[in-house]
Amino acid sequence: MKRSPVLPWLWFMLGALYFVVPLAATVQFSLQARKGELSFAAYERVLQDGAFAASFLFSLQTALMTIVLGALLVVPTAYWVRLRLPRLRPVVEFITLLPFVVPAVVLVFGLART
Amino acid sequence: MAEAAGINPSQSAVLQRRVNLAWLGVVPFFLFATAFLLLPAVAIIVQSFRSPTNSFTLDNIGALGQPFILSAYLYTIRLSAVTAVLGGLFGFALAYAVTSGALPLPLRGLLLTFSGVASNFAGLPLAFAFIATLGQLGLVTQALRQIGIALYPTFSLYSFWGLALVYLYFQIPLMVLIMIPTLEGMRREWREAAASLGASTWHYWRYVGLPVLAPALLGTMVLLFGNAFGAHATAFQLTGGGSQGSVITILIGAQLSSDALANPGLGNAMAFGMVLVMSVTVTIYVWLQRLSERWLQ
Repeated sequence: MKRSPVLPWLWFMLGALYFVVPLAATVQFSLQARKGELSFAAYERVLQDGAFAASFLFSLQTALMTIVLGALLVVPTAYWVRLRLPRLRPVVEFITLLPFVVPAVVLVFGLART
Repeated sequence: MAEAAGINPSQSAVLQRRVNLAWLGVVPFFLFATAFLLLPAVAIIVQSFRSPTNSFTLDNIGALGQPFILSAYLYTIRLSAVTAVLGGLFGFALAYAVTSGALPLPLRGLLLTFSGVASNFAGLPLAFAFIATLGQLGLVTQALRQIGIALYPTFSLYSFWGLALVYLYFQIPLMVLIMIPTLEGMRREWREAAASLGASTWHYWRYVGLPVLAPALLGTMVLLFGNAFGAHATAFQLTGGGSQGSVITILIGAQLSSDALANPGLGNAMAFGMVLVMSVTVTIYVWLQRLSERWLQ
């Protein structure tokens, strides 16, 4: 069955437009630190700012730590449940859905107040 | 049992112990889940029924009926539903486009990779990207102004539809991520069988494709609903954290950050309300997932 590629291309192009334009606009916006000209002034300022470096580093550390801890916790558990405790699978699957049921804001609320 | 199988008692004791020890392997995970997921969730539920003097009360739940809280729930539900349906439909169209075989194969990988990133692209950077695009001074806003089309004040990025447009940026990719493998799980034989019986493309989709896909489609849209319902930072940035016409997570966040304003019981009750909505969402999702797995793994 030969189908016309017009519609798939149309969807893809629409998607590309929707997803690329905001990114392009962000880049363009970031180059406008000085009025009327494109420059890297905003980037220079940000890189010289100690507070930016500190918070960037903090975010980076947090991200790396969550990856490492998450992997350490989940990979052995998944392996173990699969091989040794298949009966626990529904329970573990339920728990993995919990962060979805209890969104981050709600979770923080519960943690901060207890 | 042990005797019958020819195992002596000491061997069976060893086996017994090994079975018991197997549970130890999942202890860290369950400890973590209990401490950081279950206990906070239970705490929220308990606290929402507790008065400032620590006695049982339904006041907090009753206080959810206040117009500004009720309207925040309804606003969030509407926003989540609209972006789930629109994101679901467009995400499906995109996933279909790259799996139909009509587009060059590398585009499928490109879309998958991009969707993996974009589905997590929420919060401040996303809000900023759209302010730079469709804000009062945004790239597109200004470009349109130059050709004589004034977006503002008809359209506003800070309105319901503006927010919906921004939410779609992480909703569509999530749909794409889930639908591409699902669409690839559709057996080619089904289509060939339908075609050899004289079915047109329309017949195939009407009587085979869509009925098989329907639970997966609906289930993923339900997932998108929950995805939008829990979002916080994106809306916070775009509505400036104002409580008028805003999403419920912002109200909860406000309760959390300002002690002066805060009524812990009410904050907990709002959080509890969210957990309830999410529980219903996840239940429907799991049910639809089961239905879907009958045909597609």
